[in-house]
Amino acid sequence: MSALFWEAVFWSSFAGFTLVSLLIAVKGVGEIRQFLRELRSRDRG
Amino acid sequence: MTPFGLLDWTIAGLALALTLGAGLYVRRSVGSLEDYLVAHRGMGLYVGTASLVSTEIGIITYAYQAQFGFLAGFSAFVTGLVTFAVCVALGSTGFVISRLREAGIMTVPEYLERRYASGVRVLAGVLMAIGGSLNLGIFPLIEARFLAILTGLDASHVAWVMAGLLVVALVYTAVGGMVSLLLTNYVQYVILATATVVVTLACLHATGWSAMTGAVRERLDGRGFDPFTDPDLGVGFVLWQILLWTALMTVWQSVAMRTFSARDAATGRRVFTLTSVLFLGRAVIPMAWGIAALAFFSARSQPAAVAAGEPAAQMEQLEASLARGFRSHVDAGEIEVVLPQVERLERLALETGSAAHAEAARERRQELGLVSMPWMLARILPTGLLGLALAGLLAASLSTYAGYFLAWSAVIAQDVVGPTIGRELGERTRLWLTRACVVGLTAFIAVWSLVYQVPGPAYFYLQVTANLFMAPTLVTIVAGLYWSRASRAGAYSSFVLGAGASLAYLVPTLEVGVATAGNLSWGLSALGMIVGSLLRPGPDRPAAEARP
Repeated sequence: MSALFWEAVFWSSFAGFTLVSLLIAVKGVGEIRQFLRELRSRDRG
Repeated sequence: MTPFGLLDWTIAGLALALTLGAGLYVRRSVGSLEDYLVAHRGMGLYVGTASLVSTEIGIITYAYQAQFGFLAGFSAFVTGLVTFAVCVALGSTGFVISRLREAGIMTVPEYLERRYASGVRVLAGVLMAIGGSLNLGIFPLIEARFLAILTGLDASHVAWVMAGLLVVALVYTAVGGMVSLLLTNYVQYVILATATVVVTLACLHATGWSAMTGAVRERLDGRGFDPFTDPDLGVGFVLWQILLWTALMTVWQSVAMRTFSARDAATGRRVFTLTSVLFLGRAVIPMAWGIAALAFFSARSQPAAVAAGEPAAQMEQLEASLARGFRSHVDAGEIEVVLPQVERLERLALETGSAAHAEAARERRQELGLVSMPWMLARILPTGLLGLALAGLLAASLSTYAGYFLAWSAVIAQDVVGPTIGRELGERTRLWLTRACVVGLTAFIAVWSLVYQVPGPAYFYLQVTANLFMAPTLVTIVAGLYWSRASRAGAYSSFVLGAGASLAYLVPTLEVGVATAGNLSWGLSALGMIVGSLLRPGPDRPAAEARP
């Protein structure tokens, strides 16, 4: 296994980690809101 | 001396306060045991992924992965590729996770009672409680050292910081359980991911990829690029990693609780698909930090000054020099002074075949592997970025403590204490019993981290304590779900043999290597299940009946 192979692995994983983290940060807000809404409506019920 | 200052403490303190506030915000929404342990099974894809990943990333993860990168170079990346492949496979097939989610259980051993017997549930619970607690028990020990280096605080103050962290995690976990965890884990994930990306860019800026490649090529004696030819890794190690990660992602209680908390089995599978990318980064990124630390200190080191003479005399001279100055240089962050001496000793020991000197050099290199990365961060990160790094590390640590407190306390309360009391406990009693276990476990962790000394690399200790129950748990659950002839006798045999093999690594006189103990545990667990089930078949509940 060459240094080039590991360099590709590193940059792929770093880019993947960054992009998926961004996705979670953006989409997670909506999910949290929905989760809290469900909890509140259940508590009221 | 680290430039850690007031601005850094303010950034880290604000992040901590935000987390605690989020954790306590939803405390009134916990009404039942199902709320407390699996958040009323209302976990969505993105928050679920954030929760799973932040729980499985702590300061300790950065520390041992960086140590692994420092010691094994790019070969260490193979564990990240294994994790990635395992998560993708689980996400696309739903192997084990879908059926466990559909079973509507809250702890992993609960399934074992449904499929085999309550005794199997208790045995699995005891092994999980011991292995899980021992595994968690060294986290504060290693993390305290990491924080001391990064912040420049002395050990006694760092102990108070760690105690404070444990208390914060304890408060919101005991009060809000999984509901609090989902909310705090999201906040923590955003902070830790930001810090991870920024620190990675800083490492690359300080060293450069070509310097990292050069350091691995020149400093690891030909190792560092091919995991299959590395004497410390090899095919056996890779095979063990595949099995271990399959178990970790399916039946490790803190991970499995996220599967159980998912809205449905399909969401659970999608969480694993998304997690695959993050778990690849969870391994590879801190390993690259470790390699960057190797490059950083190698670039600043001078060849070890040793008087000419016989190799044996040179080794004695190096040993004496290291005995005098190793500790003080390491504590002062002068890795570049001791690294060449350790490397020279290693080469001489290899040339002469001196096992004692080789072992001494190996132990010192392992220690350098653990402290080099935080020392590099303390030297390359300016004020402000150090605070962001600390905020990320504390977020990572808090989420791990909270997640593990809840996971292992759930097992202790629901699978060990509850069934052995001998009478059916009410829902409210079980909820308070779990909270009491969270408090007890926190106290144990605080004490254990003060008294225990880790034998060998932390990475291996963590995996061996996990393997105490991982192999038999996965074997009995897979057999229970997919093999109709799996029996109670097979399940008991699997746990006894699998746990026994793992313990062999912790007994120094047996001299069993970590990969050997790991693979032996898997082999004997499977053998115990097959032979036990064939010799003493049923009458147990077949797989179809144990499912909902």
